[in-house]
Amino acid sequence: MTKLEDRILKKVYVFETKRTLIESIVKIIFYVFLAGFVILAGQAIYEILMEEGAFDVFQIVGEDIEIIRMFAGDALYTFYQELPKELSLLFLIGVIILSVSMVIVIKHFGAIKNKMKALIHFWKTL
Amino acid sequence: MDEKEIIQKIKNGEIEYFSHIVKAYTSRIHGYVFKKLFEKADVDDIVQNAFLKLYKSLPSFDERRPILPYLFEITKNELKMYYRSHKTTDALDERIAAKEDLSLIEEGDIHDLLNQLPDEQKKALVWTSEGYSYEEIAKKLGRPLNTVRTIIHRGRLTVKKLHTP
Repeated sequence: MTKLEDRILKKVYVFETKRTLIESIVKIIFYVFLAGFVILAGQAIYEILMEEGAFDVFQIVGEDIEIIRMFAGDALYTFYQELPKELSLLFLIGVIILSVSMVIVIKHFGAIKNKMKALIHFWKTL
Repeated sequence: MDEKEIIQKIKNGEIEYFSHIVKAYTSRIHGYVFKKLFEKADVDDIVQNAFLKLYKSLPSFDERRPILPYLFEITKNELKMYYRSHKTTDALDERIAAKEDLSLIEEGDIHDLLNQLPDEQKKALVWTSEGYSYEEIAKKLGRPLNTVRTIIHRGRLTVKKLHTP
């Protein structure tokens, strides 16, 4: 390999290393904040529902199937009424974004692993 | 291994396969740029930038297309940008500016004004008036070209300020 080819590859690897590092840091910060928000929102919703005793409506689960059929709709409607709407919506959006992000990361995991391997190998052998 | 497979592997994160592309095309691209360029010292930079741009564009590159024509397109664009940034107007500007600076001032005053400038500015202005190019002055001062431009610009401003009553 000529010196010029070495310099080209080094330039490419320097660029890719910087890009990967910046992307990783940004993504990690984003996921940590999002996960933190989802956990806190979930906890807050749970506490609100506990205070209001909203979970009591699910006591019908232990009843006969006929009673469940008759009152399941009412129980769910009552539970829905007691939900903090805005916070629940934000929680749901957070969960959806987090899930989609996780699916994307899992889908590209092979490529990310290969790239990391190549970068580490390059900088080790330099 | 054909180009299509190489590109697929790079897209799959196996970036070490980019070395196949570099090995295959560096000499051709280098030869092309070398023929086109007057300033031979910049050939390597242009070749490196062309390959880096190719690498950056690979994620959206259609692997059914051949790489070489695309790489030549990138190289041509790099050359265009190079020509644009190296338009040969510097020398003329320098001479005109030097004349403007020093011809409007009386001979005796010039030395007094120059003596009031910091050493680097003084040297740079004197050398400009003697016809040296910015590149030559940069070499003489051991400073980067852009810094020399700034030094000369500041020197001229100071001379103007000092000369205007």
